[in-house]
Amino acid sequence: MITLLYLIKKDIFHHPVRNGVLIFCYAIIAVSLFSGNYLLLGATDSVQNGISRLGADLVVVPADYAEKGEAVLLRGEPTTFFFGRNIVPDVEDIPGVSAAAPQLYIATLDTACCYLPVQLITFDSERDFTIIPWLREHDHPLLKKDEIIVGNLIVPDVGTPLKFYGHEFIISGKLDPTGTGLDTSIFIRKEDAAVMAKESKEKAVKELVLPESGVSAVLVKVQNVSEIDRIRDQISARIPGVMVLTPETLITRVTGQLNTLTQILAMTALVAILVSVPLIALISIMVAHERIRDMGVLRALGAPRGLIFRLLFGESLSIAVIGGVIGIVSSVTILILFQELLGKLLEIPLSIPGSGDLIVITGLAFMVTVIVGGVASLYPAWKSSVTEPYAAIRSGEL
Amino acid sequence: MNFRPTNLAVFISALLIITGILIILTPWYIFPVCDTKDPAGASLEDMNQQVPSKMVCSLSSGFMNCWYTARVESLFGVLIILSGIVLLPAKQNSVLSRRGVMIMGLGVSVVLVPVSIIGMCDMTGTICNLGTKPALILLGSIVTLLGFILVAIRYHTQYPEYLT
Repeated sequence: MITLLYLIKKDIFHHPVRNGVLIFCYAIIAVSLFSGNYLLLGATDSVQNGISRLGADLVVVPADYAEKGEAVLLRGEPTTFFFGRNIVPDVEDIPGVSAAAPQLYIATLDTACCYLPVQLITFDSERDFTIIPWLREHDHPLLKKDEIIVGNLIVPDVGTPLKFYGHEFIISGKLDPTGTGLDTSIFIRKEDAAVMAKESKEKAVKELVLPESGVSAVLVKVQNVSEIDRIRDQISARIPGVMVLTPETLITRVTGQLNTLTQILAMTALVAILVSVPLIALISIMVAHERIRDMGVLRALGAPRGLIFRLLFGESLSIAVIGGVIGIVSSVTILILFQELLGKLLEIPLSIPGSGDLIVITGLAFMVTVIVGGVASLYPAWKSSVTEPYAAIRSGEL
Repeated sequence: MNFRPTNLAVFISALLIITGILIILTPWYIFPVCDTKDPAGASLEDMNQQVPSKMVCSLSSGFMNCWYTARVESLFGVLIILSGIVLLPAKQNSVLSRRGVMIMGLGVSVVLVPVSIIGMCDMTGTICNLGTKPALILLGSIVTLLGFILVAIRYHTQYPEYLT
């Protein structure tokens, strides 16, 4: 039995080149719409995951190294910086602060190809609220001497020995992915870092000198989340030379960095839509004109006007649906496969957005693509459906 | 132009040739892997003091994993180009289908070499892990998909009105 779907399918396969070009146009629209939103949501989700993994409401870093501090947290860029003095007691004295955990950032040595430096983060086991809760959550015993926890993107498996500054450590656990710099960082105990620094003079090519303060950043937990802004202002006012990073400042920084790219993608989508709608409409008119005698025969055989309209409109919608699906599937594949490379090139943390967000942006890109297809074919489909069968069959005759 | 198996075969063979060329170029020019035996003059003893010991083992055995992967992928790239060329004169669906199975096998191999058979460098953040490996997975998947389409043509012949 010849159904509407059969006729649509047959015509799409009958003109592979013309329909292939149309599918490509729709795919470009879908790619532009989907990619911009994906990057923005992926970066925002990633910062939120990273902050939640740290377990901190605020991060206090030296004012002169604020950018480096952001780079460590967001992208895991290896760096070494520290406070001139131990500011932990000062932070703890601020009313509303429930806990303050110091961390010390040490970059490992850079050598050559395939041997990239990584960020070592030392933590104080008695005060820490980043690693210790994670260990408890995963029924993992507390870290013993020379045991380390690594970020999700550190390739070697649990149990593998790793050597830094001549000191050998054993990987004891691997954190869940966050999409931030924590994925490429390595957490070691404060005591082990001191031993490593002491031994580095003899064992490493370059001696590691740890600062007296032993603090690069202080992670702060507040008693009441609604007081974050007040506590941030008080820390900045009472302790000179510090910068307080909040989740909002980190998200603002990331979205600011993405602004140019998302604007370019949005412009591409807009231009693609503006160019495609008349182009697709023109092609649809040409197709309708080319097939006007076929339509006339169909009408003469008893096909109602509605069927002719649905046939041409459905064909255009089907092509838009195929283009939309191809565009979105290609975008997702490329964005996921090259996620780390994109994060590195754009200097942003990047992870796969949550499933809810993913459904929304997929639906949005798909709907806009299909609507463009629908709008562009409305007039030609209507025009073909109202043409009288006799006139349609005789059209083109000399 | 109608949708015929022979037209499709020409289209797929062109895509296979382009993909094969990209597979050859990716690990050497697009996302180049390292090709040095003893990077930047650093002695093995120096490396032992600074880097994961597992990686030093791979150094002492010669080149990096990514370098071997690049060489094997170049070979697969050549085979895929040849598959694309021999596909051109093929007209019978059964022939296309058999070659499709072979092309699917090549595509899967292109994916498996950097993922599990040989692998890439152990350290994250290197260009072979960030660029070369995902690019080869993508290209291998495209080759597999093209092979699958050739196999699927055989089943379409049950409905000759689509294809003639």
